[in-house]
Amino acid sequence: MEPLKFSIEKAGYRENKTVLRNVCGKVNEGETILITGPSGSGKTTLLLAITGVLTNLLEGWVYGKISIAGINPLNFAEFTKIPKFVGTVLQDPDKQLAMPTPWDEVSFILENLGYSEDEIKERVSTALSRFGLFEKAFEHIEHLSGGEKRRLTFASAIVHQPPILILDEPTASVDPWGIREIKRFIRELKNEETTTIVIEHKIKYFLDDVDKILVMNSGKLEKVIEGEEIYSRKTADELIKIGIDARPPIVESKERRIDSEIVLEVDSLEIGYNENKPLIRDISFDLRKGEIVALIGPNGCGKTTLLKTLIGALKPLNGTIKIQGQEINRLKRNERFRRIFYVPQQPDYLFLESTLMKELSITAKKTGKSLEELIGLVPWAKKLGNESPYRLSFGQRRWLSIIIAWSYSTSILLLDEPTSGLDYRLFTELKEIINTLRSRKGTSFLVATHDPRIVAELADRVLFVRDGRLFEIDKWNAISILEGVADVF
Amino acid sequence: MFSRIRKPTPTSLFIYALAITVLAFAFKDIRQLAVIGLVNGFLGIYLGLRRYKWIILLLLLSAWGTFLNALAVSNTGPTLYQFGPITIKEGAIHATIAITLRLTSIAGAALIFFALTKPRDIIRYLESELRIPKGISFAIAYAIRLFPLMQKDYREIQIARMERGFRKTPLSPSDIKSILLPLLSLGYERAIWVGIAAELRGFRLRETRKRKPIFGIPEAFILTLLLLQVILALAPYM
Repeated sequence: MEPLKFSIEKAGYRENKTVLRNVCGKVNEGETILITGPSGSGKTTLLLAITGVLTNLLEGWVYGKISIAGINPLNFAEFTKIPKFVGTVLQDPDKQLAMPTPWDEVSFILENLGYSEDEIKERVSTALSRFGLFEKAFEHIEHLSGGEKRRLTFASAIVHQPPILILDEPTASVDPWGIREIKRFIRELKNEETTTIVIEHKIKYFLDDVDKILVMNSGKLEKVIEGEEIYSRKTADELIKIGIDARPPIVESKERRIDSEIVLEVDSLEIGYNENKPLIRDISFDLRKGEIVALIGPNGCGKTTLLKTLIGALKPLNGTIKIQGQEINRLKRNERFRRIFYVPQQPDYLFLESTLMKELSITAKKTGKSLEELIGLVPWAKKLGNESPYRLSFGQRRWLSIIIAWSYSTSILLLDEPTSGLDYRLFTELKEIINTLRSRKGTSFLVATHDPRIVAELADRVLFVRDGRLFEIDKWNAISILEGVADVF
Repeated sequence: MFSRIRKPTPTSLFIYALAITVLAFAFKDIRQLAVIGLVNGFLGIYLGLRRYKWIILLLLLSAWGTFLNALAVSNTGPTLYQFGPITIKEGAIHATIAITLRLTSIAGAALIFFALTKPRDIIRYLESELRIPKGISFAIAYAIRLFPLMQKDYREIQIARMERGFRKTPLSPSDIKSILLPLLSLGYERAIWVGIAAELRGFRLRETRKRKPIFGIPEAFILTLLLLQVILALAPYM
């Protein structure tokens, strides 16, 4: 029996709006395959179609045939059997984890499938131990780190030993250290002969472990890549052109001329939530006008805490912060945010209004910028003016959050993981807006990231957080650390 | 010694809290309300004060709000106090005391319930012993999971509002809208995907695992406490 076979003529969410067209493929038992494509290519829609979610839960439609573990997911009665044979890991752990504790989360599917209490106890203990979570089995899930939550989603997906596992963008928001664990997990699945389907646009991390790559673009299956072709330079270049991250970034060696004016000075800063246990000590660096500095380090090392301390949202434990020569605690709140502005990783936190046009209008009103200037910086503003900012695509929301931030502070912008979830094409667009603001308006950027693309193609300098300390390192060393940890080289 | 005694099951505590709530509305006499209000108020504060300090503040605010309301709508009968132009009559005092005792008894019983149970036990016992539908128990479990996440969302939204020059404390309807819009939007998207994830993990196939309610010494103690309050409240009328 083929674990997965699909022949989709057309599919979509709303009537008369086709998202997928002529997508056919099959996966053999024990294979590990990658389904890739730029944002908006239909990867997630394909996932929802083959699991039956599109037709049975989202009122979408599919013309074609699908068979997964011998089940027709388009038929509702058969759709309910899918969980017995298929494990699923979704992109965002916070959009998957539903129970209060890890124990409850992993037990959930076993209880649903009618396992006995003794068997549940044994399987859950084994699964949690396998992923290093047994000690935290009864803690609230919100006490887990991002990496632990990701491991928990793996544990809950395989606890019932399904023959098929689907992983949707498993590397989204994961640092290189976490990606290394994901790769290890996928290799273990391969050794256990689990049929694994990985949906991912950062394929460079998985080229060694996959048997086949299905390339989606604009709702169609563009290409199937197998064998030696997976590793060829020509394939990587072709995939990069359509927005797929198929190889390590190339460091831009041309150094930019940076203004000598210092806009941000940090001296002997200590940050954290506990005076006796600072997260990072002895932070000293400066930021110049028009400069882009990347701040790298594993998740949880204190990058976000540092950014929030720099805007005054958190109190420093020690040390000084000066913005354009003035100490931050001497600046009034409104004056402070005219000089420095923090853009959170989740752009939705920044929005206040129900439509895009209202959002731009209130920004213009509060900042004194002209509405026309802001509309000019958002290319799709007129077309999508009546849309809710929360319903824009992720790339558009990211773009809008940076424009809002810049409207308040043209001097210094602090970006927190701005490329999380962006494919290479959207990263290129983001790079364009950042470079425009930097070169035309003299804006300086401090970017907390674990994305090697930012280091290679945007940053002038790199600061690395390690073991509670901050070091400046060169770009090549930074790339080597980020890609080396994730085993890309 | 007390730490080694098993706590009463969530089922017995839930039934106790429900019974006290029913009595709080059934009793009209202040003396009857005083019995359940004082017993549950003191027990609830003693057991729950550490984790739920804010409930005390809420009770005090409620008492004040009740008094103001009573001055407006129940200020009848003989005058008890006069403060300048403000006359306080027996009716207002009576209404304030009655409603405050009613609130204290319900809040106190709720504090006892939450102080003596773990969230995950609540869900298991409600589903298996009280046979609450799986949809409701899933919703309760998800709410417990979601609460700290929403607190985190709220903190982030406050930072963003502060940066964008808005008041920290929401006073106007547009302030409230600026907090609710992102909270609800994020929550809605999360809820859709959690629902999909639950379906992909076989929630539709879930059957309630029935279990006979446990009745031991701790449960007998809770029942005795309830009966004592009923007897004390009704004794003057027997």
